[in-house]
Amino acid sequence: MSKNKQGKKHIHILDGMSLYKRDKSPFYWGYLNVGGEIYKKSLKTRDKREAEKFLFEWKSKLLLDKSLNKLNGNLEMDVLKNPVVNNTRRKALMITSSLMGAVTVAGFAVPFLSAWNPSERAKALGASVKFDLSKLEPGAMAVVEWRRTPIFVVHQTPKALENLPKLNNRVTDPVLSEGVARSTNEKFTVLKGVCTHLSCAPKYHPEIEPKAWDEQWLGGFFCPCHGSKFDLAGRVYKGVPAPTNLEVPPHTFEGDTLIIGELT
Amino acid sequence: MASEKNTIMGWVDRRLPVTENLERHLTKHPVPKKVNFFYLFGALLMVVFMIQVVTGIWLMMFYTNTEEGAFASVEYIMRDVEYGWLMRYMHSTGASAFFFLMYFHMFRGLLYGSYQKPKELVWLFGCFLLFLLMAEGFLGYVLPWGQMSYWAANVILSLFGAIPFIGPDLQVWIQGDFVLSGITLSRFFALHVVVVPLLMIALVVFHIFALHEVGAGNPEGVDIEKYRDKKGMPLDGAPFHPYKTFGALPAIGIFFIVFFAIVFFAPTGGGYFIEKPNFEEANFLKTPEHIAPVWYYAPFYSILRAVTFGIPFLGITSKFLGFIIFAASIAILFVVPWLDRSNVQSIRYKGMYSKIAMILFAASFITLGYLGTKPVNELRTIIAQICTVFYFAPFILMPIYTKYEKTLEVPDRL
Ligand code: HEM
Ligand code: FES
Repeated sequence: MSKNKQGKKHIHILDGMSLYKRDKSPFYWGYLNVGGEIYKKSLKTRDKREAEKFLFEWKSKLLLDKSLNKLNGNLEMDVLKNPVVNNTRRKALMITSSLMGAVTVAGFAVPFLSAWNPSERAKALGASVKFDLSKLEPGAMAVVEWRRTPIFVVHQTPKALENLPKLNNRVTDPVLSEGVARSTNEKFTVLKGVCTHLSCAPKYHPEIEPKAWDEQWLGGFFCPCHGSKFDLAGRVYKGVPAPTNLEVPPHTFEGDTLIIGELT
Repeated sequence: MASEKNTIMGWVDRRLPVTENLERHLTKHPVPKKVNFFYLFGALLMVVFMIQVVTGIWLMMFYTNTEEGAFASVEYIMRDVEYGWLMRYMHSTGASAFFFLMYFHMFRGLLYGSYQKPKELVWLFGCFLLFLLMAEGFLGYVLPWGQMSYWAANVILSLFGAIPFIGPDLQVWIQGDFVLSGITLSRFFALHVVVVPLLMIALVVFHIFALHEVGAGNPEGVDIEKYRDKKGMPLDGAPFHPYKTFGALPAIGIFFIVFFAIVFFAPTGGGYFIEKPNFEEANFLKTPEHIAPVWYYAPFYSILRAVTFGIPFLGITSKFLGFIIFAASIAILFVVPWLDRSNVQSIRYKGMYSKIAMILFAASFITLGYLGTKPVNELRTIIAQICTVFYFAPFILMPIYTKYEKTLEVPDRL
């Protein structure tokens, strides 16, 4: 047993290696002198054998670290011996390489993002369709498919045409310029069956009777999704989620035939 | 040290520190010794996540991701594949369970201030997980290509179309077509089975690592790090294993009993888990009589529907305003850690106003959920509007009431 400066009892292991106890700690502490540098720490064990083992491990780790540091130190020295650092150039390199990196990323993003656009095949599905109006009874509605969208074709009754102007102040946008039935044809109204709120297909309710959604219903369309109301000319009622009237798709009448879509 | 051992595990540990990390993040990780059942939902969420991944992979083996084949392939899974019905119902019930647990897990966070410093990141990762889960559920619901799949997707995609200027183009870009079609279906499939799950796994890892860095909370809001034993372990802590692992087992058992009871006896949840119209193939000319979301989206859907007005002088339509408020109802959760100015964490020590706010929030969330599954009428719209206000008010007013209300003294120890 020997004593160090603080008067603590040391257990000698090898030169520059010893174990000791500290007053408040239940553990063995290790003391190392590696090349003149002193290290101390708790070995976190009450077992002497284990403490010895940990001490040896610790020493070899320190030695390894030291030799690695030496290596690194020499490498660093090489650079430091020739301190030819051109900060402006370094900065310029940083900026150009980041810019080039950004351009590369953006360049690669283009094909991946563009792949999500409608393909040529999807674009080609836009041809016009024909519909025979002669079989559509007054008051009835037909659903015609155009570009995978339901198109509503309504044969207006005289009663409906009479009622429509009464609703002018209950709708958001009466579009008086478009005519009573919002159509170039007196009898047939053609509408996109796509609710202008969130694209559900509104239901056709031509009956004039009180409804759950409207006490004074004069016939029209009711959207089941969020309760938007439109009159028989597709004009949207005030105070419903849909902001605008049902759209009128491009269409032309040729005698009894209705052509929906652009004429080609 | 495990790595010194002359065993197979020791050999591995010297090359990959498995034992050390397991001990640090799992078995020996100190957690508060006293928590309540609210703290079990995180573990259950992990269990459900695993159910979803495994059943999902099996469904993928039989599912066809085309417009022509999707609906038929789901019928094939249900009728012809051995135990296919079990895979599908476990997956659909798992989705409902996921949300159910998620809502309780988050409500726990709100009650006990689990989002407070230094757990802000844990909360933020959680909020991203909620967002991703909502996306995942939506994408998954489209895949069977039933009537409700089609029309619900149509409504949600049109929400993007409501964004001013870029909206319509954005919608077409997401759809990959001018209308919702098979093109949309295949890309949703890719997102549902690969992209979103991968992101979710990454976020769960971040969620847990962030939590382990700062330490788990408890219903009392006591900081257990304050008092430690000689080894530096919190006095009010306990190692995760066996204290928490065995605590969670009964909960997992009970969860499985309830889960399989639903899978076997009520897999469609009376139309709230899988809706009736979804047993009919998508028909793009005909919207179902009554469109309702599955129960877990109902509160948010209600908020969307409640906005029947726009801000005309700013050029904001009711449709776009609905979208903004709908998005805000999720976004506001992200900033909760910075809204709460209270000097205590747990609702147990907060003041009257915090308690009232929590009750209002919970009540309006449930009411909105109920309304979201019902058809609209004028009265319901007004109630939904009031509830929307009560959904937001507890958060918007939080900086004020948490700062000025009187709080109780938090004890030192658990
Ligand atoms: C995939 C979804 C999720 C999984 C697998 C998950 C998992 C977990 C687990 C295992 C825990 C620790 C145990 C516990 O406290 O319950 C936890 C804690 C926590 N989670 Fe989540 N979580 C998820 C989503 C969320 C969400 C959406 C939020 C909130 C926005 C959230 C907020 C928190 C918070 C604040 C804690 C810390 C609680 C505390 O220690 O006081 N998590 N999570
Ligand atoms: S989609 Fe018609 S009211 Fe919303």
